[in-house]
Amino acid sequence: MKKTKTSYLLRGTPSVLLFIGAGFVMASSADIRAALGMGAAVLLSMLLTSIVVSAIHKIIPAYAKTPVYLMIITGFVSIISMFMQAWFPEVVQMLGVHLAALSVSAVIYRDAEEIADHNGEVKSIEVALVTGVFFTVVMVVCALIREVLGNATIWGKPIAFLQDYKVSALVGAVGGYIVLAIVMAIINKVTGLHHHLDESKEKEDNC
Amino acid sequence: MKLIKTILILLVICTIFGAAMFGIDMYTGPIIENNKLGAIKDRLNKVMPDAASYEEITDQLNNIPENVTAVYEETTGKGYVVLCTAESQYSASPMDITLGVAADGKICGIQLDSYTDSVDFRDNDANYLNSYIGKDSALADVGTVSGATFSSSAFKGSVEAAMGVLIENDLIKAGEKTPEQILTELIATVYPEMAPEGTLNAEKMTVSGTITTAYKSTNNTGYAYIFVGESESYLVIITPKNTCTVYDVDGKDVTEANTALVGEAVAHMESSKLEILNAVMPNGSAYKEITATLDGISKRIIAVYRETSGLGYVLRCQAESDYSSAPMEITIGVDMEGKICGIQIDSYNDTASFDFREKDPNYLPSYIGKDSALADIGIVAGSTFSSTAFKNAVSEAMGMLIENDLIAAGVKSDAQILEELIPTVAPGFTKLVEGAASGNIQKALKAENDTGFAYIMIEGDATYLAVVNATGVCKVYNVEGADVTADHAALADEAKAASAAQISYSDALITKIGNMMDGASDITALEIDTFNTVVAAVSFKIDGVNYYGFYSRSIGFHQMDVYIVIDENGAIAKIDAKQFIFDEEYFMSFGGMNVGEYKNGFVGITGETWNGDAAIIATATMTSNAMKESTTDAFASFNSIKGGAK
Repeated sequence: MKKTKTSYLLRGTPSVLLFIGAGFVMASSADIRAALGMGAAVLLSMLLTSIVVSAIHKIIPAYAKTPVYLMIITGFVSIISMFMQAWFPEVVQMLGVHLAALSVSAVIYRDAEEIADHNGEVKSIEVALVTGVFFTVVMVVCALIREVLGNATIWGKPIAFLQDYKVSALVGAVGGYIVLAIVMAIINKVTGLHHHLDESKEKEDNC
Repeated sequence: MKLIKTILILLVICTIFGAAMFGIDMYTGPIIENNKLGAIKDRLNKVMPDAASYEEITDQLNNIPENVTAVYEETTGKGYVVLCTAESQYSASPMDITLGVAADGKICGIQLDSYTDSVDFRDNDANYLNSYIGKDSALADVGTVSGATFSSSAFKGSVEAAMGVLIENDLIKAGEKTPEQILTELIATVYPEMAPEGTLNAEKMTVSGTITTAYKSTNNTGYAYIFVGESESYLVIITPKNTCTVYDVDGKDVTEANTALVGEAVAHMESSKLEILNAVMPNGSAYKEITATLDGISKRIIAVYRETSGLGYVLRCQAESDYSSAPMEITIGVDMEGKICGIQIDSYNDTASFDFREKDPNYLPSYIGKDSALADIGIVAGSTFSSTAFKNAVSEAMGMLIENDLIAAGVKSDAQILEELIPTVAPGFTKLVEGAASGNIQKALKAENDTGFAYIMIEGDATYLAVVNATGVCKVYNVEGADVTADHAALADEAKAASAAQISYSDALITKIGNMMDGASDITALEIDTFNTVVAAVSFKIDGVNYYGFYSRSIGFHQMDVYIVIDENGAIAKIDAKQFIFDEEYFMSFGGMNVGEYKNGFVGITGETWNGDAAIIATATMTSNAMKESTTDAFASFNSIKGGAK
């Protein structure tokens, strides 16, 4: 199994990605609608950025890559933000400044610099898709837990029988980080095991 | 070269993205604007229901005051909607106002969207907002609301500013003010005493002759009369010292040329005074003011008149509670036997919902026939502060007549004297309510804050007062105010037995001390012989050191529950309360409070160093006073436990 294919996702990278993207993951995972909105924004920005960066990376001098990639990311985030404001204004209101803050997201920049900058369009698109979907899934899972157990609602609609049992702390910052930490621990456990297996297989192959 | 290449690359990317965003904005821009408008459309439609759509024009206008937040134009030419705010000195946060103005410059809709003042002028005058409909920028006949002067003035001012923006930007025509309006507004300029901070403190009177409008001030600053003629109009001001000045519409003093107007205004003023005096003196005809001849006139006494045929006296006085915006004006008629023959309130400036005349229509009539003892006159539940202020004003007025030997003092019964003794011997017994009498108990009173009971008791021919505090300690007093408990043990026992319903707060305090003080042990309930707001006391130890805990139930804005721990040396070790601030919106400009800092401010204070300053919470007078009372009472109870003098 080659390193840059499926093992990319399982090779400990998700935990690192979640760690550096914890800010917007936590901020948008209090509501499922916000989580889906942010997930879509992250996916689209990573995808579009990867396509453009992988197409032009050879003509961009090394010393100019950082400002150029940041400008490309900011441009795409702005365009996506404009479309979301037009068609999903409630979601934009829920996300607040965190949507605009994607422009300086380390996750998207990392994806541009480490993957798209060193690979062709096909591989860049594949990785961007996988990472974007991964983030979306994690945010939706966190949002499901926080919204249902913390707010006793789902998709903004109240769940009558849970109203008296909701744990309001889950909706706040502390609760959000606790939920994210638990999800990260589970992913870490899974990817850590697979990463260990991958390493063992590599050693066998190299012997 | 590198730098130039970098700059070129960045420029190209900027241009591409800039062009893309420009193109996208052309498509999404209108959709986004519609979305923003959609969010606010409900609010706009409430004042202009038949509007098709709106366009925000705020940025296109000049000289927009701070309180105007947005201006929308109805796209089919029906008019404009202005969103603005208003703030009075008693607002916790601004009022949000939505004003609809038709194309002809008249108000077609007005709405108050959020209101956080303590007094809602819509409660005092349900038609106040409707009075704006159909008015142009002159706002003719739109005044302020009595009892909510500050907030209704702020509201009116904000509406005027909003219409001013439309006029200044040539969107509507300015309304023309009538001469009456101009002269009414002139009062604030030529006689600011009657209109402090631009708000007229006056009530309209019924008029006669050529007088168009007559105002009597509610702050005892005189009278204002407006005469509107065919070609000329004038304002006459009469001060309390009877100085008269006539002004024209330009504010010029034209008294010398208009003495006839002065005569008419003075005649009307005298006639209205006579009407007030006759209302409280049956069969009265003429009066002579004798205020200047009397001694001991407090500033609450406005004037004293003698009825010239010998029927009695009429006093005009003021009463002000801690929470009224301006004093009540009261007129009292007293006959030659020293009994009240008439009483009325001429102006009431407390909150309308606290008007004791509404809560107990029999309260004022209960004063008729009473002498200065005011026997059986209590206060009105739910209007404690204003009815107490009223009763005190009447008592003071009659006391002034007695002091000047104009009437004889009323004789108070023993029961009355003893009942009036309660605040002295049991100052913590707040808001006494009457209960069932039995046995030797002629009258049973229970403190609403559960600090104890007071009984008027008969033994033989004598009457006594027995007070029982929340820890079950009883004291008996005679009419001279002397403590005669030792000689009347049977009365004390009967009083204690009658107080069986008293709630014991010892367990609650013990539990609280256990939570408040880590390591507290040997927590023992104590009896205290103070009769203040302290309802329970305990002693306890921490690491061998003695402490005393006190539970006080003073009354702030609501019932307070205050816990104070004092160490062996008499210094406060800790303080807590179930709730410090009630109804934050009640407090004007209340910005929140750091509870931890506030509580720490008490630590280390002793009875000697206590001056009440630590209890102060900015803008929260009632809570501050309650905390001060609780702390003072805790020190007093501590001293009684230790056997020291207060």
